[in-house]
Amino acid sequence: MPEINGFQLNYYESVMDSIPCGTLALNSELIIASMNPAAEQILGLKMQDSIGYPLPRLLNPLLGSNDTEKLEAGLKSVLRLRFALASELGFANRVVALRASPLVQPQHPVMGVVLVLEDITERKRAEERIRQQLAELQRWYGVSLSRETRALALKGEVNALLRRLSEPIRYPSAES
Amino acid sequence: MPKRILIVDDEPELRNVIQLILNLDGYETLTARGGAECLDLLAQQSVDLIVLDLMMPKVDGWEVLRQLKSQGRADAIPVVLLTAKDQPIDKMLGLKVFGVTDYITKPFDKTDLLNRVAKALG
Repeated sequence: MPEINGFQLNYYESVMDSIPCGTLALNSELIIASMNPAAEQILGLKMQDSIGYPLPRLLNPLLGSNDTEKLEAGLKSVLRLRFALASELGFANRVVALRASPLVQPQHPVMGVVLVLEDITERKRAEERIRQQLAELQRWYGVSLSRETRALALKGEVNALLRRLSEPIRYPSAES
Repeated sequence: MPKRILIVDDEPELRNVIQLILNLDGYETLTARGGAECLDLLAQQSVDLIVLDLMMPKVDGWEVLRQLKSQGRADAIPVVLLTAKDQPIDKMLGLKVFGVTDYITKPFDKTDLLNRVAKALG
């Protein structure tokens, strides 16, 4: 692989920094080699305290050990099997969509993982609001439907009583 | 006075070979079998250069670099990484993130090692 000079490195760093999604590059030991300001903001981690450290170690206080272990296993699978992984992380009242792809060079072993993060908390909240509204609508539909059924039954009872009194029925529509 | 070099590698044979090469070239050497021993040695003695392996059990080379960085000693002691890890991302981590002086991939050439050690020592 040709060496990258300082100019190219600055150029690639500027590109990374301008990407609105959180972007991290991890080596095969899941150590953060680079991250952009969006990743810093989404994860709430300072760049200078994160680069050079294993991502699972940094995420453990945020996610807890169970979720961190699951994420670590998933990222190691990406390295081993060269497949892309999509998942969601929940922490600090936020939901983050995560996509992990193998960082590859043609005809070489996978050198690491590229992570793309997107804060989808607002989207999830909007989805939850729509879900709640739908549930409310369904409840009202159920209530009005049962009220209709009950009214029909009452009309039928009134008709039956009138019949017993040998009087004409009042609700022909209730007669099936 | 000969320059003192700390060799950190978990493979005894390789450690001995590097030590022999450096001793024959007039350097004084210390050895550590892993990252923990390296950090212990550095707490007690001063060295002019560290030849550091990356992949070691328990405390690896990355952890040694993190410790040196957090102690503010990373700039004070030049480090030459000597590792089987030849991926660009690892070279970038070593050279740019941790600011090591040089990065040599195994298998290495004796003359190349000596040249780069001499260059790292300035």
